[in-house]
Amino acid sequence: MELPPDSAPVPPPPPAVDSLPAEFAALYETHSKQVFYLALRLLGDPTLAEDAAHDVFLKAWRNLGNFRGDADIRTWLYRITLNHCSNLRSSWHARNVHTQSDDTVIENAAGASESPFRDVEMSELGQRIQKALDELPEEYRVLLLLIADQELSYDAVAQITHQTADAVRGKLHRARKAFGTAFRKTG
Amino acid sequence: MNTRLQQQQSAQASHSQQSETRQVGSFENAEDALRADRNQTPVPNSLGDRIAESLANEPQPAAPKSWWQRLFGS
Repeated sequence: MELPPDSAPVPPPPPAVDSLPAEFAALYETHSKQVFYLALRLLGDPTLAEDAAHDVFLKAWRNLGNFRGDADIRTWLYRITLNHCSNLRSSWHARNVHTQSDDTVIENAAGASESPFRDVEMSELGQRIQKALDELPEEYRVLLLLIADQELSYDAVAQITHQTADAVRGKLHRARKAFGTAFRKTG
Repeated sequence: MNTRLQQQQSAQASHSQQSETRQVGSFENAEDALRADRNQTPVPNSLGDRIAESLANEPQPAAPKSWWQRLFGS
């Protein structure tokens, strides 16, 4: 016998972000923007960045027991994000998937979805910054993205990137100049 | 005399520093441009819901180990 439409069993809605455990929800609220933005600018694609950010928070959840309270949680999350994005990029290069130019990749990404988010992401500033960052060596790109977070000290950036604070300062000087030159070319 | 020379040197240094930091369009420097970009880039609404959905299928994370457990590896 067919059930009338109004009595058909309704599947439970999937858990929403406000169903996260309180402490983890707070961690997500505080750090999701930085994690997502770092992944976006390292991977150059909003969909891949969303997947990466999802995986980063899942890894964080699974490894909360190993998190040592003496390190800053932001530093810890950034390190997970960098490792994850670096692994993704390495596997793409190993499989030689990226045969298109960065411009084509960005154009394809923009056409892949019609969400309003994509429109904002592909704003002129975002496009120019992505193109300029893509011109830089990965090390410069990472340093600039990390130091743009005003909550991170030079020491924290040094800790995340496994070098001394003096080395960070020296490389940042060159990274800023390289970014400025690359950014001007995108105008 | 010395003072005037120092003032000139200081003004020159300041000028070259300014022109070096004003490299990135209308932004003061690279970091400002990146911050503006980050501020205008929203986190997708679906991200939090996806994480919540994934965590619903995950076991509770282990409680943090105490210092002696970390030290002695138990």
